[in-house]
Formats: sequence, structure tokens, C-alpha cells
Amino acid sequence: MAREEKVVYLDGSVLLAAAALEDKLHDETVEFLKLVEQADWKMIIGTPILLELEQLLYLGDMGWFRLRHALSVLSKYNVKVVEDNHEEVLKLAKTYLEEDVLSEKYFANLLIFASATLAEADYVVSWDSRRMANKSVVTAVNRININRKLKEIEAVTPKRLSQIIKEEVL
Amino acid sequence: MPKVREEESLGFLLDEKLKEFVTKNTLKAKKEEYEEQVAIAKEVILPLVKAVERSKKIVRMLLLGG
Repeated sequence: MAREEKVVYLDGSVLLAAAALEDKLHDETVEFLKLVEQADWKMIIGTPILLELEQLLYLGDMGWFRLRHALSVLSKYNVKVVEDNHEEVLKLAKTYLEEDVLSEKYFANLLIFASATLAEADYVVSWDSRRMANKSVVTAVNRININRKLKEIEAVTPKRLSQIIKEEVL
Repeated sequence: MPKVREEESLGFLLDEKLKEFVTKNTLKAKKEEYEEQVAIAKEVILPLVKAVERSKKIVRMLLLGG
């Protein structure tokens, strides 16, 4: 029986942890990326992540260094950049904000949820377990998605998704 | 493996900073402004993705003597 292909939307925290050898979450993140590859699942990022990566250019040499390594992660693990409908992403993120999914201080996180939802991702994967891979935040996102007949998503840490892949897929 | 808290990850901390910048730039953005920001990010980042991929291929070829 063919395995079901899932779509995994990577947050910037995952790319950056994978990009730095000295990062304390580097090894765990790389193991996760390899497991997703083994499972033949698709990894994507959307334009809100490109906006994040672009900001690295304003952080001097350190920023360039991190950017180069983050981009290497994209090619090494075949992470695709999806074409967002920008207007729809912005509109949906603003709806999340109006519905108090997160406060306006975390609008970038809402853009990512909107981008992942509209890209029909199955999982958003982030090391941020307070504002991304958080049950109450995802429940609030999905309440809006269901009302708008959009795809429900799951948000998990790389550690959790690695566990799911090991137990249920491989 | 000892449990690592997310705050100990450089990637996590840097990402929080980048998200702050993105929030600052996009929170009050009108549709056109947001589209322009995305267009610039794509113009800058996407060619770099290809360039990094190419340079890795070239290095690999040189190492293999091909």
C-alpha cells in the first residue's frame, strides 16, 4: 500500500537550528529532517519565511553566514518554496489577529499559520512551543479554518513529529 | 539525550528576533505594501537559493575532479 504523502511546513526556527552546527537543537533537527525525507513527505516554506530570511541580510556578517547555511538546508533536504496568494495570506492572518489567536506582537507567527493553511500543509513544525506548536493556539487557528472551510492543520515540534514518523510511518 | 530547552537554541532565539522585525514591517501593512515586501524578499532570496545550490555542485565537482 502506498504511503500517504504529508506536507510539512517548516518554521524559521527549524531552518536556523538545522543551519548551525553549534546549535543545541541542531542534531535533533537534522534527525527530524532526515526522517521526513525517509517518510517521503514534502517539506515546504512560504513567503512569510522568505521575509524572515531576508531580515538576516540586515544583521551584518553573522546574518549573511546564517542565511547561507539556512539556504543550504533548503537545497540539502529538498525544501520547496511555495507560491502564496499574498492577499489571502495577509487577510487570513488579520482574521486570526481579530479573533485573538495571538496578540499583534506575534503577527509574523499568524502569517505563517495563514501561509501554511492556504498551502494545505498537514503540519507546521516549529521549535516555538508557546506560540506555534501549542495546542490552544492551534485549536484557535483551526476553529477559524473550519468556519471558513479551510484545511485544519497540526502544529508540532520537530521532536514530536519525529516520534509520529517513527511510530506510525516507518 | 539530555533535554534541551528551546531558549538554549541559537536558531530559536534568532528566529524570534526575525519574527519581531517581520511583525514590525507587516502588522499595519496594506495589501500593496505587503505584496511589495514579499516581492523584494523573493527577488533577493530565491536567486540566492539557486546560487548556494550551484556553488555546492561546483565544489562537489572540484572535489571529485570532474
